[in-house]
Amino acid sequence: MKLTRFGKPALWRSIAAVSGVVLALAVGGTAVTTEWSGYINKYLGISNTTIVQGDSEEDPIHYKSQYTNYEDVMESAREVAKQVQAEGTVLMTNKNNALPLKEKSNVTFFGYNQVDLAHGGTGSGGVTSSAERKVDLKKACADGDDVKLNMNNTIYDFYKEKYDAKVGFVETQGWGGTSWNFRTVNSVNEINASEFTGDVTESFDDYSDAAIFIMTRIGGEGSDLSVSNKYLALTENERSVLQAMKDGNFSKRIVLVNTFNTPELGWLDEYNIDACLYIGGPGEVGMDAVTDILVGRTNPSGHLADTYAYDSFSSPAMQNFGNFEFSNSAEITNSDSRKYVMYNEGIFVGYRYYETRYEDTVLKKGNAASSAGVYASTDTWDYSEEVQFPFGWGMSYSTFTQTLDSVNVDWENKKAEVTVTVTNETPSIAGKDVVEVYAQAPYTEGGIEKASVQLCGFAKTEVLDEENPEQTLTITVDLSDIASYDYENYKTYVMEKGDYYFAIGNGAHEALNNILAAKGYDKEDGMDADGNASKAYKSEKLTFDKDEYRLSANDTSITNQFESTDINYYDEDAVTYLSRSDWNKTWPETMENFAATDSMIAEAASYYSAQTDGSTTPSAYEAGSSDTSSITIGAEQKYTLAMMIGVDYDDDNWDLLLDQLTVEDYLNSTKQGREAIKSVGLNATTAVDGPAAWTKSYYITNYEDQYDAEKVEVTDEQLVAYPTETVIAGTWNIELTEKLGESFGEEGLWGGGVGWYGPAANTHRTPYAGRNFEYYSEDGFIAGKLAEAEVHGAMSKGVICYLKHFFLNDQETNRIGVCTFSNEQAIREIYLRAFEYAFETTGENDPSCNGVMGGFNRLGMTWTGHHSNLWKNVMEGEWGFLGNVTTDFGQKPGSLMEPRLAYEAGTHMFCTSGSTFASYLEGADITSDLKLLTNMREALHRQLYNFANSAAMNGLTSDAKVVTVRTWYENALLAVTIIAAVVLAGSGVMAIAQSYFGKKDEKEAK
Amino acid sequence: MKMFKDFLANKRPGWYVSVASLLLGLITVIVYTARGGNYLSPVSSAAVVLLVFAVITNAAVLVIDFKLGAFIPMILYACTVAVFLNSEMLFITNVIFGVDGNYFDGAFFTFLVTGVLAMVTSAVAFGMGLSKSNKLKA
Repeated sequence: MKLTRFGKPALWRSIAAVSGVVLALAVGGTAVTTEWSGYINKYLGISNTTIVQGDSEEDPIHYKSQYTNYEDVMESAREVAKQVQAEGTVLMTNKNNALPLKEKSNVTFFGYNQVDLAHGGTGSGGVTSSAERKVDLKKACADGDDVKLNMNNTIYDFYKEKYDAKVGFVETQGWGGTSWNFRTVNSVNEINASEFTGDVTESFDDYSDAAIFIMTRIGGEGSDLSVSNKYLALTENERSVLQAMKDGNFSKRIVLVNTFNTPELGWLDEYNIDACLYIGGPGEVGMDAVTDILVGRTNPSGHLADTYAYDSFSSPAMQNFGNFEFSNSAEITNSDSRKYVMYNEGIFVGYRYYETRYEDTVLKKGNAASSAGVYASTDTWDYSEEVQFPFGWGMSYSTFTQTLDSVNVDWENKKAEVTVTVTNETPSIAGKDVVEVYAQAPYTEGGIEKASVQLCGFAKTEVLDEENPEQTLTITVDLSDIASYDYENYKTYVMEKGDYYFAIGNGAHEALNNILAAKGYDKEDGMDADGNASKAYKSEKLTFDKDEYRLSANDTSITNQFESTDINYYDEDAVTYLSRSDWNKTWPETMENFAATDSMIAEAASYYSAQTDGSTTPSAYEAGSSDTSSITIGAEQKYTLAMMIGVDYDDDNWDLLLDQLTVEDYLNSTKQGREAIKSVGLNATTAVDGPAAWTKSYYITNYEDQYDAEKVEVTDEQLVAYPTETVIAGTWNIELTEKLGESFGEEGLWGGGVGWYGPAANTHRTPYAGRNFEYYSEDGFIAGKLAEAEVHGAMSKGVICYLKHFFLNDQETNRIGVCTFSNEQAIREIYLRAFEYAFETTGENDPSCNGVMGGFNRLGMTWTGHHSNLWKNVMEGEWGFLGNVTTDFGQKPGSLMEPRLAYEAGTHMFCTSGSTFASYLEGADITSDLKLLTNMREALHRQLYNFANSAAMNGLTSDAKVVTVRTWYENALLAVTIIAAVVLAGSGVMAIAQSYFGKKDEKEAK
Repeated sequence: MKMFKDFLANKRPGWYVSVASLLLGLITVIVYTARGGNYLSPVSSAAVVLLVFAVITNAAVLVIDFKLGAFIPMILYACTVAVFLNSEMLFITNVIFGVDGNYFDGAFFTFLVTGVLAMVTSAVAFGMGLSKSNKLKA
């Protein structure tokens, strides 16, 4: 029978066409799913590995949950989240005790954003939760029978109608077309009060117990808040709404500040506002706590962790914030090193600026009352006209008094003990109070810069009530925290001789006034309030210590490590940092059109092997010996990682385990630990974005099965969305923050994972940074202490915390590669400090954080991941850090991130890189470069050490084996590939045969 | 003119579909290279090479029909789409994770859609056949 009789040529061609396309796509799909299996599995809630247990009777669960089902975990997490909001909400003003309201008061909420509050920021740290679980404003006011407030639904429905019609939404081009955003960081979406209908205005009379205006601003990853639109100021539409509130017949007027950045609130008096609450980003459940506070079920105890200036541009840091490009950027070969930002304000960030300048106006020193930096003052610089709410300020429904009982300064042992008694003078109103301890170091004109006050200790009381109205707290101050970093002369921390003051107060400003009072100053000298000298203590230091504070906690000598991060390193006297010696002359110049020097250009260029446009330049990397025989690869698999649980990092047995690693393991180690390393018995794990949640993650039904592909069951219940870090900071509560960390840890066990990209501890250098919602504060001390507590809590449940974004990554504009310049004093005293307490270990009870994420930015001209001084000298050397070092989201290898240089500097893995970096290194042939292989082995050593001491080991005993299993999609793709290949081959043969025999038939016919 | 008319007269509808795939392939190569990639997913030289060869072979089979030769651009287009997926995965992940405030831009959407359409139309063209066969003579 002739083949030409089977079907027609067109049919076979069609079948070949379809099968060919399917085959190509199946092969491509297989490649994609192989490279990105970690993410795909995470999303599908499946695993491609399973555990085969041996005969061992060891308990395979190394990190245990205190819960038996995920519902209890969720309930507990929501309780913690609510508690954080309850303690982090700040009562900023409360005239005539306007708050609390009576329960079931009839209230009218004003502001378009009430229909969709900002529960968190946007970007990778953004949070979502189901409609059932999210406590929105309506649910917060009345949930079933539990009615706290009767809200005016007429105006709510008016706004909701606008919302549903997308009024004022901003159009964004996105996948598949246009998406609509309710709000952006560029403009405020508010309905002008002139649009209120008659029904709306008439409804006010029935809901006139209180008018509550919600001021909402958003912030997010990828872009800063709009400076050109002055996004943090009130808009005309908002003013119209406030005017309507003022004109209305309301008994009380209240404002809720639903922002993560510090907006301008100078209008509170203008619109007769009685009370103002900072609520931040409340997460999924926090609004319940906010309305509890409104009606007095909860007594607010939060304090501000940022300064609220009348003018959001008034901090010196704002002079150099945003987009700056080198004037000769065309000479810089790689496009992402052409932008810069200079921290010319030095240490004068946040309250350190406002309070220090205030003291100098009182002391009449340093031209403090000059016109430089005047934004809100009517003439010359005036603190009371510039600052509305100082750092540390917070009110309560109770009246507390604090007595400074004693201060014992032990200069020899570098400790001071501050004892304070807190009394609730209105014990029928139970509540908590915060004790804040500030220090002042002596400043010599022209010497090392010193802030007039710096936070050096804090604590929160228990609930003080009728039964227990008084509590005495002793706060230990580590005097190292008030030592000054002398980057110019001694190049280390020093403690100068002179008068040191320790003071307490409700905020930095009150503490400073107490210090000034102790110095003999009063209102006649220009103080804005009389201080209380009894709340300040002077201790004279008789000697100048230039060596006593040089040693870190692990006895490593501290010296300059960031000289090239100072622009003056490249161009002498390019910058004069802000100085108390003359506020007027040293007020920061805006560093526009700065020309990169030749050495800066050369340094920027040297770090790249390739540019984003595909062209190449020589890399600074120099390969090692091609003889790698000294490193054993693929040794017989006798040992497992489970055997190394609790084994010291320096133990020789690690070498035996590392010898078992294969080349594939080396390459896969770039992938953030998502891939299983079967040769040592490490299961596949995940790392998930934070810091306000385990984002996009779901609970599992049994945490003990998390890494067992054959047993794990994923629910459709998302992990809890907690309040933003600005709210956490507002709690000033280390114990609660540690409890929050533990809650994150529990959720990690129940579906989150092992690696958590959180918390984050960058500095609120300016109010306009897009990602401030992910960071605690403008102050490195409180940020550092809270970060440490949160990390310790999470680590106790086996989480690897990638504390981020380390460091000087304090703005979003140009963040990928931006060259950031600061002097080392500001780096040490402000920016590193926010991370230092978490990373530094002082002993067994103070474990070092087990992970870190480096920033996208450059320190000077060097990307953080390439900065060996940072990773090796500071982190490992000074602080004893032994955690995993990952990059931020992996970029094209060889562009910003050169993996060979990164490994050499101390980076261990590349975030979210799939196989990108593995392929790059495979091309570099790691087996013929001894230096690279050695560095990668060390990176693997570090990773395995941290995984061995994390929840990644749950399910594994010392004789268990990790076995790969095929996922359903892998099987499906394989089946499709085989079928398509067979059909293609068959149809191809038929098509060719018919063509051949057809021609033959044709010839024969002729 | 007559030659051209004769040329067209000998073409099947699949030939016109193949012209469409050529145009789509050209749009893809232009948009993809003009867009220039980004810091996450730069232009893939493999994709460009595959795409250029796909366009060249697509043009070639329009002029000279090698019968089964139309299979070649179809496979090249399909491979290009697969390479696109792989090389853009970092960008896609970045957007899905909500990092950087990135979103799928119009050009990304365009080259991905035109690439897929080029693949599909070339497959349809191949299935339909580009030229009429000589009639068997009695």
